[in-house]
Amino acid sequence: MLERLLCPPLSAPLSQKEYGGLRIALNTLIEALASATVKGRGALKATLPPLIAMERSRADGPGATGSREHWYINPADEALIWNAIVLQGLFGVPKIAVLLIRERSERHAYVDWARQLFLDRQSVAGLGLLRQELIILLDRLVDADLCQEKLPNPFADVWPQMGLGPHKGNLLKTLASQTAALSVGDSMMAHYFNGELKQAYDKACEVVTDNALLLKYRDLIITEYQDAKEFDELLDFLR
Amino acid sequence: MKPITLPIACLLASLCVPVAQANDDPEHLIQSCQELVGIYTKRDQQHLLAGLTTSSSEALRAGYCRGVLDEYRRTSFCAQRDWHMQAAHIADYPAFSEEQPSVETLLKQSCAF
Repeated sequence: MLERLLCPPLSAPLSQKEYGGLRIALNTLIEALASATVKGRGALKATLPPLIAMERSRADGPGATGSREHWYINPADEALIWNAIVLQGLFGVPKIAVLLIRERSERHAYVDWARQLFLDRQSVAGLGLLRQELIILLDRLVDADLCQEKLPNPFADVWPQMGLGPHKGNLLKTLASQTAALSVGDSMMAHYFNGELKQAYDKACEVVTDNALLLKYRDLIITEYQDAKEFDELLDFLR
Repeated sequence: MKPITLPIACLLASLCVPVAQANDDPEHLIQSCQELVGIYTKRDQQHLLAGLTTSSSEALRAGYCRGVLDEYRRTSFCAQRDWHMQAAHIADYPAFSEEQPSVETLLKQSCAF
């Protein structure tokens, strides 16, 4: 079922070696979904039933030692598993995916937070995310029935779980480092957007970063400043 | 050869000779000088502002006005010593008025104090 969910027709099957990271991530996720969650502490402690039903079986009989364990998932849980995979990709860990599916009340906080990080502050293109889909996803997430409704897939070409792409598997970590890098350039950008090109240029000259997005802005500001300065000098020369 | 063919041949030959033709469009000159004055106003208003807010076509127009003024001042007498004042004079002229003076008249008038 996972292959049907994730692999477009004619692409390589999930069992291929290069998808090892994705397989491990998905296995962890499925296990988290299929195990009971303990909620609360002390006397209020309650065990919640697993979100999906899964049966495990290992082939018995002679010659079967060490053979792979087969996991059987109920096809009725397809939408829920899909949503869990999307949420895992977005928020990084299965625990949060499970929490979001279980607790409607928790969703608001995460949606707000994701909106701030992904949409208000960042260029999502740099992270391989599709903006439109992400907006729909965050809008729906708050009150969607995650057992029935499939959320849209916001990832442009690779799942973060695959460990490929610009984020090397950890979207949150990349986001955090990008945010940190951008704060280096914050004063530069603030000056730029306030129309204070000279100050923006001064800051841009100090910026040292590996962040591609910031480098692009830095070069843009430097070029723009130099052009404007050259124009001023030409005007003065022609006076 | 018939007598008529000679004038026709002369006419055809004269059409092929390239003639240096100045642009004689007063409207174009007025607009260009307006751009020129505008750009210098921005220059004096704020450092870097002119470079940020001037488009390529505005800059080209302004350059055209400046070139026309330079060339006129090189070949004709102009009592107005400051080309910027002269440009301002031309820029003040309504660009879309009914009766427009020729470019030559415009330039001559703008040279007067």
